[in-house]
Amino acid sequence: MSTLLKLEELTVSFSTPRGELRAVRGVTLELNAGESLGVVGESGSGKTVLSRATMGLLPGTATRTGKILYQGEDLMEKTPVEVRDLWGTGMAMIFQDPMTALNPVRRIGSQVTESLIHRLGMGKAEAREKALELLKRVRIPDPEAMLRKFPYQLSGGMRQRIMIAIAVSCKPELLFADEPTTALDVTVQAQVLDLLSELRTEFNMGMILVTHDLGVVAGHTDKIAVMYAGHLVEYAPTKELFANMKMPYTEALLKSIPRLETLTGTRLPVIEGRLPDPTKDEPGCSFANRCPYVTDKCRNESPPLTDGGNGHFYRCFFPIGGK
Amino acid sequence: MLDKAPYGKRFLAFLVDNLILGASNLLPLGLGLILASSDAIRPVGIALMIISPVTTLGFFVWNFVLRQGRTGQSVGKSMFAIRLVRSTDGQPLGPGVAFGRYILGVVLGLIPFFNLVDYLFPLFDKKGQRVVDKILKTQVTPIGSFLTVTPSSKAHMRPEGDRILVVNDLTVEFNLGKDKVVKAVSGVSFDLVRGETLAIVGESGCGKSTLGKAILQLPKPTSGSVEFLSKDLTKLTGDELRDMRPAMQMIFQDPISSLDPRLPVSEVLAEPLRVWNKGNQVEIDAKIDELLNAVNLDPAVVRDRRSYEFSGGQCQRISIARSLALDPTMIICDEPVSALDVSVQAQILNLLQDMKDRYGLTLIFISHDLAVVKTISTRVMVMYLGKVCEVATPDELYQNTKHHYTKALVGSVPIPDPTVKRSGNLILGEPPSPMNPPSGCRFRTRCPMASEQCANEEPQLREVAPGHFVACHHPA
Repeated sequence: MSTLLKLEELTVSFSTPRGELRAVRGVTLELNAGESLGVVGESGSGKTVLSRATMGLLPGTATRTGKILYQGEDLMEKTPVEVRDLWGTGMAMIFQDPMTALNPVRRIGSQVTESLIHRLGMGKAEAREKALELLKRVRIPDPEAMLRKFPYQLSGGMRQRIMIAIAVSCKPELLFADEPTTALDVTVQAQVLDLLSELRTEFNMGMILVTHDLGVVAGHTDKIAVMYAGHLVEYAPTKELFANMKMPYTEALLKSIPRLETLTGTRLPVIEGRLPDPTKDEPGCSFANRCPYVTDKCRNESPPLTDGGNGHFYRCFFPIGGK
Repeated sequence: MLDKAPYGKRFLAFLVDNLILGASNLLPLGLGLILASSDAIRPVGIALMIISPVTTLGFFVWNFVLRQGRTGQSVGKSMFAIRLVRSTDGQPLGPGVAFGRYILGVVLGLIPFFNLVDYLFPLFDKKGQRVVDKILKTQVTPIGSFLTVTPSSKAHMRPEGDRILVVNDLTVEFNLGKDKVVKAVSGVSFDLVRGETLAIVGESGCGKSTLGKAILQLPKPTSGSVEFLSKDLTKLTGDELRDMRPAMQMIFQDPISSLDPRLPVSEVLAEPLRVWNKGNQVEIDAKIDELLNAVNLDPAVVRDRRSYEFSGGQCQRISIARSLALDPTMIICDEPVSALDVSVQAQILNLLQDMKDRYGLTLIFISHDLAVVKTISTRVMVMYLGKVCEVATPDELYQNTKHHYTKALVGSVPIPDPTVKRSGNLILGEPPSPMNPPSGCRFRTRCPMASEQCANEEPQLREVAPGHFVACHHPA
């Protein structure tokens, strides 16, 4: 399989009145064509910034260093116009909030056909046919009527399906899904995730699924990257990660998910404390102040990304399960 | 003449004489009882029961008064009359004996009639216990319920408990004009016993949030009653309702937008205390510190900051502190953790549990995620399109899921383990429009087990296991 996307030591920082805010700190990862990667972390861990930095969707206050190799070409060296030409056909994005990501004053039809007309050079009638096909593909009942509707007339699940239809309309090589189901009900979430997996196999797309919920990525990704305070703290194939968890942070994230099996009245284990201040550079492991297994070494030295075999990398001096 | 008839025939006539009067009373009464056991035709049943003594009276008058002079001439001509107004030896009955028979028939019919009285005038005392139950020292069930296994929309009610909230047949409709009516909540009944946590679970649009708001009269429901602390909130005037408000509080879904961005946290918490005159500034300050400490926020750091300076989890802690300010009896939490990360979600769920134990609260917890309510609730009510589908304790609901909608909800919860395949029990599509809900069972358009019966007949809640109620014709 060919490498589709490779990030090398990607660092993103924003200049703010409080100082330089380092949102992503030296992330290196790789995605093959047709593969799906889950990026997991709390709010503020830098997972959304990571995907937006790759797409080139950051505001002017942001600075990026490192390399973003998309099919071997460094996107950081391209001009904004050249990057824009990749949007839609090369990379596409599904945003978190389907309520605000669609244009409220334009009909669904014109929003779905927009990229077909501009990107693929289709005529209006042809684009309309294609749009109907796409809406059917994302299982929207009565697509003809849907083309004439406005976003406010649709439920959250329907809007997210429209977003997916728009994102995959030009058959992108790489699809970013930024918390695509966080605003949705569990029933709709399951439907949308299944739909994304189906489309990924069908179009052989690479997918980066950004979420805060390990339960969401478990069944729908090949690899998982866990982020904490801008660092990539654990990176492994999905099955390997769940079978052989190394980072105390990943373990804590997993334990805090409420499950149906837990008996009523049991307390959920929580991660006490908060993320460190992103504008400050403190020595030691970024998770040290919340880690249950913390030692003096963790407080003073920053752990390097260690190769644990089986493609499993982690950033911890005292990983769970020894070594 | 009968006096010359053989003994067997005379005995038969004696039996018929006495039975006819009784039957004229009991037949409509029994039929009425059967009809009244079904919600849809209950009025017909009740009407039949009311007229049953009247039909007997009519029968009596027709036979005894109008035909007395003319009966007895020929047995063949008027079998009924002769048996009714003459004794077995053929002599006419005295008016007293005949009237006695009528009274006997009516009294026989009156025994089940007590149920009707109870149905028409359900008299409750302050604890929500029926007065009739107390006088008769019995448990008088609603009419007709002893004929079948309690098929009613209220089978899950617990009249014997210490109920602080009793919601009866609550309906909320929104009129959109042009004859369009959104039926958000359709005849939901439930009760809340002091100290419990009731979870209301369902998809977006099932009416769970509307139900929560209708309890607080925001806005007032279209019909039905909401008895909170023995007062019917729907019948209170504005001022009376306002006096009830401190006892019932709400925590909203979006923690950030439910706090005033211009007010520092100390003001957010002081506002309810000032409005209700809870002491002077020193006392209010002390109370604010106590509240912030209770929700694990440091008052020294937090007091003077504004809501935009906080994360979602911290804002939700402040919302919880605000809802606790007036020492409420009941808090309605409307999706309090949906907008939060899983790690923060666990913190807030634990905090709610702590606050409940510490302040002796009763909670209504509204959510779309069964896994979230599993840890915190003591009773779960699943709603679909404005109706109650299933009521049970969370453990029972998960281990012994009966309703196919609940099964789909259980199947949708993501499992954080890549080796486990999901059961594949998913529902497809979107819920139907609440403007035009399907006939019969509202879930039938998406249900894998739907049959003709589901389209024709609305399933009512019935008990399938102790404390486990389900409204489904074909439970799993």
